Amino acid sequence: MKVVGQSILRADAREKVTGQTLYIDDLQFPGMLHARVLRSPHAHAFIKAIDVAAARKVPGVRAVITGRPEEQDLGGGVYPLVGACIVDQPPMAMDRVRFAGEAVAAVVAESVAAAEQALKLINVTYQKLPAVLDVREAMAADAPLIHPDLGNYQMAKGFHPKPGTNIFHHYKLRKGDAKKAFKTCDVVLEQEFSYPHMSHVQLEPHGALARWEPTGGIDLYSSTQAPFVVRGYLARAFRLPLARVRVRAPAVGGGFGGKSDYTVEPLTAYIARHLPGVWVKLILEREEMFTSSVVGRGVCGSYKIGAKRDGAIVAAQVKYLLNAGGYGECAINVAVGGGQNSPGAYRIPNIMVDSYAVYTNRVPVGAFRGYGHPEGNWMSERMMDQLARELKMDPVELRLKNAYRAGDKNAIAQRLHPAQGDLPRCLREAAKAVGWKKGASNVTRTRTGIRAKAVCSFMKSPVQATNAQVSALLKFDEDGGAALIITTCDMGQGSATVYGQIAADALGLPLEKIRVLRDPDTSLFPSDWQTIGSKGTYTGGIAIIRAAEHAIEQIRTTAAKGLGVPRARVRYENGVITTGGKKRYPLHLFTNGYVRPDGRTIGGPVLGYGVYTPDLQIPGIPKPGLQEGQGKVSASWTFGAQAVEIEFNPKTGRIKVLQLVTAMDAGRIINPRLARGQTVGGMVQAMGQALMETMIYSPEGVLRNPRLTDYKIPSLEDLQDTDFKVIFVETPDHKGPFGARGLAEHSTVAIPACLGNALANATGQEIYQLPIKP
Amino acid sequence: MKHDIQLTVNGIPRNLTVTADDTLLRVLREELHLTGAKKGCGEGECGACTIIMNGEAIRACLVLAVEANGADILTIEGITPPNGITRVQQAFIEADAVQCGFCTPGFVMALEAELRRNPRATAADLRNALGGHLCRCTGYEAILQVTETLATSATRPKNTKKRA
Ligand code: FES
Ligand code: FES
Repeated sequence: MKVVGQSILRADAREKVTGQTLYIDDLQFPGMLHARVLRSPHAHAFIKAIDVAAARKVPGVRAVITGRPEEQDLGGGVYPLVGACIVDQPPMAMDRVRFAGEAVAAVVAESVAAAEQALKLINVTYQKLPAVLDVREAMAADAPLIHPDLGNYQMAKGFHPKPGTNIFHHYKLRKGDAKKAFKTCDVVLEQEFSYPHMSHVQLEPHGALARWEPTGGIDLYSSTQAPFVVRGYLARAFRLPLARVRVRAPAVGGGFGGKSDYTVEPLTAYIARHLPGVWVKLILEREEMFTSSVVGRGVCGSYKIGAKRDGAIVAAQVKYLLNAGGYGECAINVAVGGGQNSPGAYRIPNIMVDSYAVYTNRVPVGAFRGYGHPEGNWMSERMMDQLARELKMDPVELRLKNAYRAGDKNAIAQRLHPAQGDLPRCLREAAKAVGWKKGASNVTRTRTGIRAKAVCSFMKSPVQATNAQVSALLKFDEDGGAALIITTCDMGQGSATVYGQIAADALGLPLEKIRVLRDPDTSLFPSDWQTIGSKGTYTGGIAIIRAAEHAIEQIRTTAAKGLGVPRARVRYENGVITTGGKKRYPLHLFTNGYVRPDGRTIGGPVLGYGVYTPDLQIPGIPKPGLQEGQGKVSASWTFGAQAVEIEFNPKTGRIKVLQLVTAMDAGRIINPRLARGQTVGGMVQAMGQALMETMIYSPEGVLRNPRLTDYKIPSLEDLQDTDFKVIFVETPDHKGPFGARGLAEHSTVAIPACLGNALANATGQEIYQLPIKP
Repeated sequence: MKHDIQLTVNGIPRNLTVTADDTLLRVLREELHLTGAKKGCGEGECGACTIIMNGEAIRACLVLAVEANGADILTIEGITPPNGITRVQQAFIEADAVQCGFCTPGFVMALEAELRRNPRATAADLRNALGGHLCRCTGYEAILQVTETLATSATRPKNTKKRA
């Protein structure tokens, strides 16, 4: 092994610092037109009429498109509804709008300016409906229905909507008997929590570029983390075979989950359908990123915990209410992931979780770095500190006492393997790094304020389908190098670099000989589920290693036949072939067929193929669902702990973050520098969520702060006093590539709870709502 | 209303016809195909569109093309030497201050402008030059490292301390 484990410089850094990397808005095609979209000003309303006559007359305008049923009809009353788990969203509002910001009409023009001018001339008549913004109100029996047709929607198996309500999925997890167990506890605590809606604020806004092909198919570029998933959505919505839909992804300027599932692709394809043969570009404005694309979080709920005097946790009960906004597809699995993981990283014999995905008249919610985990962690880790206080135990000791260890069965009945990570060690490392003193208050007064610390656990798994496969191809060149073709959307997490390292070592070749393709194309690249859930390194890495093995087999076969020796004698090592004797044959002799001295060619160009298929069955649980929520598992878990030190100034109310610490057991680290970058970036995002970010709605459901002037994210000035500590505890994974596990989202998970706990330690003020406002 | 303007962009004189509300950013990106400057917000809040105009770092999304008439403009495409990269760019690579890269050209241009103006810029000067630049990926640790590196490698002895 030569490059795995080294801090290789990012493969695409040079392109990026010179401004040469192409993102969606950098693409231009001859004859390309621009689309702009009219957005609903109301959170909930019927669309009574749309008058587009004046807009059509604006010079440069080529089409004005509405979402009226007759315009959306694909033929015979079939509409292009989008979804997979729950098929509930038309690309453009049809007869009613369900959130302020929803697309109501679009203009396609020769310039953005012309399109915008025309938008102003479109006249829409709405009939307002009562807007439901609060998740509990939306769950009430008499709540106005946001999707009266819920009962008729197509849904994937395993989801449990409640027709006649706004609840489109109820996920249940039952382990043991929590109700009974609470009665045996010495201490029972319960609290309500909330985690508001927030925007991903990827610096690059969403965008797509679509052309309807003369053959009736869709050719589309998008800033997406999930080209294959997008292809599926488009094919299903527009009733096309997958072969007729091609999705390509240029560089992605930040994803964080917000560019998984779908964003503007169905809308762009729908608009382009009206102008066949022409490339139509739609790039969202920053304001639309807040009001009209998927946003994140929006969870409230409660956590009840019961323990014995000695600190042993006996039972936990979680209510997880996801305020999912106007449409459900992107949110539905967040409720599952949140539900599965909300009890926390502790062995709790009795667990009861009820997680609800609920429609409201807000901007739809989707994946956001951490996928349901930070919300649950916010509840469980705040409770752990309160439990420690109640039991008069050191909070780190309480966590250590209950932390998952190898051999434990987790909340969903998966037995944890010793090679799956060492949470107690992470806790100790984080405590040490932040300077935690056991048994002490860990609060000090300084001239400038009160300093306080906190330590929390986390765990994270990719919430993935049992058929979430990844495949990789290694296509060899005549000189013995290879192109690695694997669908990964490198949004900055560095997967292209890490994949190159894995491929280089799996083949024993220098990095320069491997070209990692970074522009996925669903028509050329082998299939992949999507780049989400921090699963890339783990699943993609396995596929790459298998592709390398497959390639080496072909090389050996060609060498054996070409050189006329038994295959068993042919050895491949570090790009050199030997057959038992002294002679060393260079690899390139065999990568495109071996040419014998007489000119006869043996074998063909080598194409290595490798695939990763999740193995998600648990022995002893023949069928998932025997007990609710038991047996639906993830391939890999990553455990860790985080810690913070803050300085709180009681006069100004200002919180200075002095230390942000992550100690994580992500198995073997393929590239320490990139891993640190991911971890630090995640901690700062989480800090922003905890201390400053929130979407503020008017009582009518209109977003009040849809701009970066009013929605503040962490800036450089906010981090000048902060020390980052990142510790990798490297228990090699038993299945992961070179022992690696996922790590990209994890550092977002426990920082909010750490900050909440530290502030509670500093001030005695218990905080249950984010963002933290002391 | 159309206006004829004249600019020097990366050393090349350009004659352009623009509308009154065209931004310099749009013209650079869409008419001159210099897509290195990015649009992250279009209202001066992110810094991704930063270029150098008449020696100063400016946000091209806030400048109208007509206001730039006669200006000397440098974009990221124009600072990069043909077979190499600048000191600022090198520092970004080495510190791994680049993730998705969308913010990067803006950061690079802001630091370039500051160092051209003030070759002996301290880390604090360089940090000030980055005021209002947003990066959502890196958490700024590596970018702060870049300012240290660039200040240290300047001629004046280092008199900065990152953390008080
Ligand atoms: S695009 Fe100009 S500052 Fe954001
Ligand atoms: S690297 Fe992505 S925004 Fe800075």
